Amino acid sequence: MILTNVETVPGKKIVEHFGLVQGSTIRAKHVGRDIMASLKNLVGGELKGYTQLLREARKEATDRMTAQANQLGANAIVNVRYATSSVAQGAAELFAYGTAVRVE
Amino acid sequence: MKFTPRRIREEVNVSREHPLKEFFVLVLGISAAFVAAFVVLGLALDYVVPHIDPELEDHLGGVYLTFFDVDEERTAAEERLQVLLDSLAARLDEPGREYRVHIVPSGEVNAIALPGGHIVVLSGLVKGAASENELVMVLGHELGHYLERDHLQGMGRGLVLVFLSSLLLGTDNPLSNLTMALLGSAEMQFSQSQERRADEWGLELLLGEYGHAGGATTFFQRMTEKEKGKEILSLFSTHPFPRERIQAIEAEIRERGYPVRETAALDESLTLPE
Amino acid sequence: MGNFIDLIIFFCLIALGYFAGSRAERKHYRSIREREEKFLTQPAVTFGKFQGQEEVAEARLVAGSAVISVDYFKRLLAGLRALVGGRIKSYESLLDRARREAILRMKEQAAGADAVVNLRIETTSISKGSRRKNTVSTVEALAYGTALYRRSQPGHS
Repeated sequence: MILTNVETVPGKKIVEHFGLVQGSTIRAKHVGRDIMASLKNLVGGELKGYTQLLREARKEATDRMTAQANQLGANAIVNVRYATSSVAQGAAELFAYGTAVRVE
Repeated sequence: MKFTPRRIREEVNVSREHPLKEFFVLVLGISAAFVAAFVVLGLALDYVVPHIDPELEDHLGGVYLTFFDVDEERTAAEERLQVLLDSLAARLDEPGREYRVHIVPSGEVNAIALPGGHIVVLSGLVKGAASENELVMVLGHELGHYLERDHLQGMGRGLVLVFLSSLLLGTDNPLSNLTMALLGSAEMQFSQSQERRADEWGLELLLGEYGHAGGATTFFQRMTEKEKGKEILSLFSTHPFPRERIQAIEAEIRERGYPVRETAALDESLTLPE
Repeated sequence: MGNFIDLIIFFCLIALGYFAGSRAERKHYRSIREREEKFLTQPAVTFGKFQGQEEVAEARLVAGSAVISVDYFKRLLAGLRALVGGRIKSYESLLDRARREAILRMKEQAAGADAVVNLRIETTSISKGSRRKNTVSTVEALAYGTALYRRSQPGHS
């Protein structure tokens, strides 16, 4: 499955499209990470635990979007967009959406 | 470019797992972790507590004392009890150790041994006493707890639970309030063996003071016969197994052949107004 | 005693949340699936630059939004999950419903259009604000795009 966030897949021609596909996931961190983050707030710098958490969440959201595209029989997703929002105390939601297409 | 409409049949973005199953798994898991943490902390505390510095203990006692509205001025009743307490403490041969008794006005019947040698007696208990011997038995029992270092242990466990529950559950929801209420009553709970040992001390001190064991069990006997009111509830939740203890004390009196004679009437200062 | 009553009320609310909430959710999903079926031939795509060569008579900005909240049971479940970490499954349906509803409302606004292009979706959480540990559980999803009409619609400028 080819993913791009431009209008087309460069170098290939889009033959047909299947409409919108979307994938989302919500993840929480556990209390331990919470405490470490509060401590890190004193010092500043990258919160590696969270970076990893969100990276995994992004991968999962993308995988779900790809799963939807597979169901439609597409082989590429173009114009992919990501959105992150916080929906619960200490949890982040990751959303990926794009248009499923078939390229040749 | 043409558009081919197709349906997405499988719901990718929503998990199939039944929410009730997840609920039970989480609740069981978290409770188990909670219990494990409590046990571990309790054991660690048991190890640390016997080594607590007496000065720190006095300081802790002061902190706890503020929870009870203790009046600085000594009433006549408190002074009389203090005289009795000092007489008992003199037999213990603990140089430098000072014990103070405080009477706190309350409808409830209870006596509590706090760190630092402070004994708090609720006025309901003083009113419920029929003879001086009974009060001496109670004071002796509390002194027994001190000698066994029970008081710090019970307190420590209670504190650990409160700390854990507020850490995990937060302080604002009904679940945590209920936990704290349960803990409040369990804070001073001693085990049956601890109570038994304190009773032995109480009996010995009573004997030393009056020369006989009269009045050793009469107070508790009266309390168990009474209607189960709210005042009695707090007494039995902090001093459990009353019947077994009464039997054990009576058995010991019989075995050792202690004499039982007429008990001394209460001094006028100890008959508190309603 | 007061604490006991609090606990009983707590459990009643959870039960109410679970049963009534799941029923409402199932009903909503059924409605969503029906309407998606209806709009199957009208695609909403994220293409930015217009891809087709067909003549476009009219282009209009269309938007649809929905604010959805979860029931008490799901909120409790999310709170527990937040202690342990991992995927909060109880909120997945919340977001899914909100977004699909928003997209459907947008399509309803664009009735008769051939396609909706440059679709963007924004999700925000709406919180109660006051209590610190209160989990936020209301979500607003906004979907907007450009609806393209090959023929001019009656009644529009």
